[in-house]
Amino acid sequence: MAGKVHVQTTINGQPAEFLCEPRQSLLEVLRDVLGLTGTKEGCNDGNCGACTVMLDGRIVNSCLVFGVEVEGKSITTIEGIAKDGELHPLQQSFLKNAALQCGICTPGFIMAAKSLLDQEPHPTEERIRFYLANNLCRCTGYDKIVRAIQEVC
Amino acid sequence: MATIFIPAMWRKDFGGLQEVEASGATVGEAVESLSAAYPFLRERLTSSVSIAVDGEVTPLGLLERIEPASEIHFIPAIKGG
Amino acid sequence: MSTVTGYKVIGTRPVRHDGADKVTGRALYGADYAAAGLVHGSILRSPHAHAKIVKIDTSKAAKVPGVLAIVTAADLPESGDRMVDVGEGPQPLSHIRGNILALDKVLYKGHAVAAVAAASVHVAEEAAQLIEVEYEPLEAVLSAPAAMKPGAPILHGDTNVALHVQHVKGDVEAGFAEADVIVQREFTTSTVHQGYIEPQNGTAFWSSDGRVSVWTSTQGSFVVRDVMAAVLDVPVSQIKVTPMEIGGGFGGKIPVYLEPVAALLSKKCGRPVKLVMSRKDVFEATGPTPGSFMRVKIGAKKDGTITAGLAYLANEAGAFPGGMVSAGAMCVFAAYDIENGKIDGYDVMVNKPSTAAYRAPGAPNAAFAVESLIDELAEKLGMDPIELRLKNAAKEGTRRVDGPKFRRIGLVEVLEAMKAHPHYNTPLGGPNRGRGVAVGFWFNIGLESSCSISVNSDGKMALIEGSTDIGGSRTSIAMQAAEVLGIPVADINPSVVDTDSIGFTNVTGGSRTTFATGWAAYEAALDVVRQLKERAAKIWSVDLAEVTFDAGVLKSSAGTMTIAEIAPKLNGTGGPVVGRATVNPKGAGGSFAGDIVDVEVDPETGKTTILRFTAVQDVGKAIHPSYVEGQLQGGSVQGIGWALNEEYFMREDGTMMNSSFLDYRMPTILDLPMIDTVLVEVPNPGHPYGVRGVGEANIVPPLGAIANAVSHAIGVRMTSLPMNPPAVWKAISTK
Repeated sequence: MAGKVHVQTTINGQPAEFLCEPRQSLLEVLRDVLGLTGTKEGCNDGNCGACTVMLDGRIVNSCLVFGVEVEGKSITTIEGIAKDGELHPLQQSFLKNAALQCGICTPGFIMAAKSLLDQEPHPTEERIRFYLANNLCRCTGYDKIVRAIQEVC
Repeated sequence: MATIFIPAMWRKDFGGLQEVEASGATVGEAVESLSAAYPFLRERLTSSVSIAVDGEVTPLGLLERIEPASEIHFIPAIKGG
Repeated sequence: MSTVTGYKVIGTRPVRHDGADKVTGRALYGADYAAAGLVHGSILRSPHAHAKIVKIDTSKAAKVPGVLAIVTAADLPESGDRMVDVGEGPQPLSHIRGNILALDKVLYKGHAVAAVAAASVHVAEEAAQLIEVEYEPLEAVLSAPAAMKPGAPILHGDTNVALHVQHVKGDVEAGFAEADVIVQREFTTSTVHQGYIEPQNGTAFWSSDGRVSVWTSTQGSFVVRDVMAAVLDVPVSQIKVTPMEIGGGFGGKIPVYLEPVAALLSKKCGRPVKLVMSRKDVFEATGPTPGSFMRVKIGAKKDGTITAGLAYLANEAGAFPGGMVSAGAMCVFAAYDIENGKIDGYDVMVNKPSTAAYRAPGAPNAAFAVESLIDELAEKLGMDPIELRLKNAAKEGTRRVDGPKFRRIGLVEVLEAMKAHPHYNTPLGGPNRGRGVAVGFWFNIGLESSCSISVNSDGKMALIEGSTDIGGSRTSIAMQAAEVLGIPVADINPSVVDTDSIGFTNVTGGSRTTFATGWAAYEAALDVVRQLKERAAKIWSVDLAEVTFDAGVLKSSAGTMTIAEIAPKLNGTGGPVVGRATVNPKGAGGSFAGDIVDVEVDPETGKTTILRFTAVQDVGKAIHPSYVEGQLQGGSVQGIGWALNEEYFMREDGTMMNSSFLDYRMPTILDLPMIDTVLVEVPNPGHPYGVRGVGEANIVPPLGAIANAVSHAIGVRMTSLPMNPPAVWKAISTK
């Protein structure tokens, strides 16, 4: 088995470095090596979106990315969305519209929704639903999530 | 006299009766008052059986007070999810 | 009880207290727990659905560098014949232990057999796979009808029938003889999973002084404590359970799986041990809800009066007793005032994971059957399906087939709301489209809750309670206290605390949390008011009898004081004020729910699209309407998935073929329209604020409503779930 690899990257705008085994996913690195537990594991095979982060501006399932792959890249996690103690409008809207119940899918949804709105500031309901189809929620039935996003458009 | 409703599965042990009258200040006393005729009743009231008085499950079980016209039902205890 | 109207806090929609933490990723769920010296465990699971365990050889695993401990069922204390009651009624201790680590037999594929702890989860996983288990495979049985046949493989004792319940009212034979129309069918439903996004997890530390500490995501910290005490043969008071935030439960996180294993590993290696399930293990080794086989017959007169109902319900309990047929049998005809009824319910053990509760367990299956038949009756009688239900609707005083009379319930109000709704009054045009309605019932339970409220020197309060918060309940609980105290709910800081810090509190489930823990908060707040009045009397030197309290203000002939004004004086005038209450309340209300759903079926693929969905429910009094609406929406969508796509796709050897979110197809955001909700408020006379538990009843009607809609759309009566595209396409093409 190979030894650990030294990786240098940028996380939430700050330089970061870590040691990881080649077999460890980015999800595992974020949570277990770096202590950034805001990104969640729901399935570990790319089918629930709870582990969504941004990698060089694109959302990815961090369970499908290896830790060693992010050398020199830029990652944004849920911990980097609120700026200087102020919640992002999406985060505020999720709270105001009760768009979360247990909250486990919420970080993934906020990452994906932000990615959508960064590219398309005024998506239709259909477009919102299409873009977020990889994010599973079992508590809310999605209704209030869609409304929370629409309110910020 | 309060009425104790006999669950369908137990009726054969009560000679086919669907209801039995019993008296007492509490469910426990009513059950006790039947112990001569039906000595097995008390031990069937485990924690998997809920006691409902007048349609309301009681948290006090056998200690729940009853009125002369009360209905007592023994129903499966359920919790939900 | 209270008939207060004009609430200041109740009925508003404040931002939840734990909200900021949850949208920023700061909230700590069970798998996020970290501690010095934490190590990781991995569980070895059975590849066979049914087999004797002949031998377990852990020697190769023990040699792997980094392995710190290995456990099997041999490390559990002896069970013997002991019976224990961990809140579900008496059951053999060997059953509880046997599901956590298999004793002499494995009873389902995925059944836990051994566990390894190591510094790295990957090392633990690799070492676990090196444990050698010799099995003697046995024939497996996978459905209730098959398990009930003579000669079927037996899981425990001498029969697979774990329970037979029966309810009889009147004379069904006479009732059917009176009927002008009779409908009867057989129905089947598949095993489905609650589908919570967060896998089970647990960390345990067994210290050298014999105390066991646990951190876990659970629906019941005190249940975890009780189960661990029974399984490990340790006094309850030596175990402290700290609930972490929980990522969904729906009943599936009431049973205990990992924590005792983590504790055993910790006892051996002296380190805190964390176990987290993979998604595959969640599907294969937790508690899905029973698949079922049902046969139901209903008779009615020409004018629509139902004269008789006969139901045979057989639920798969899985590997151990407990298939929830009791509740199904009590709910099956609950919506209708029927003179003559007979219900037989069976919990049947099969070689599948031991089932657990899933939101109103047993009731959705039964309602699927009954609501489908009521729909057929309406067609045959030429009656509107809501009118037929109104004609026979259960009301206050209706005697249920299982015996008790209903107290105040809101089924008629729910049906009237459905009938008047714009959805129901908008014609549904177009080919391959159908509309379905259905109703359903679920109980609420009371059970034990505790609450404590401390007044801080700034007049704001800390509220502690023990109900793990799955959906915003800590805020609804704080709102009930705030209403009493006449202060804004933001001035109360609610926390969910561990089993040493609060009195016994039963599960977050059974639609009890806002009802019972809210009641405890209400009583604790009243206790605070009582103490503040006494203190004010002392400070003012007046008679207690002349001190009044209203809307947060104390008053007497000596003047007035707000809570904020008296608070800083408390320490120096006798000491802090802490209100407390414990409850085990009567008066739980029971909730009726109803759905209207429009669907369109693609005849070429059999795919069903939900066009429009309206969920109606009697909620008693909505404390926080947004979170009540959320319960209706969430339960409805789970019902949609259950009706249209979800199932355990089992191979003959008992392997689940689709144990991932890719192939266990739950609804995504793209599959659904908005879910409209109507909160009907028929206050529960048994609760200070009229609360009815709402969490569960909403999953009862969707299966029947969608089956009715699809049946209308394609002109074929659907009697088997899920109605996935192949099943619907087949029904269309063999029409």
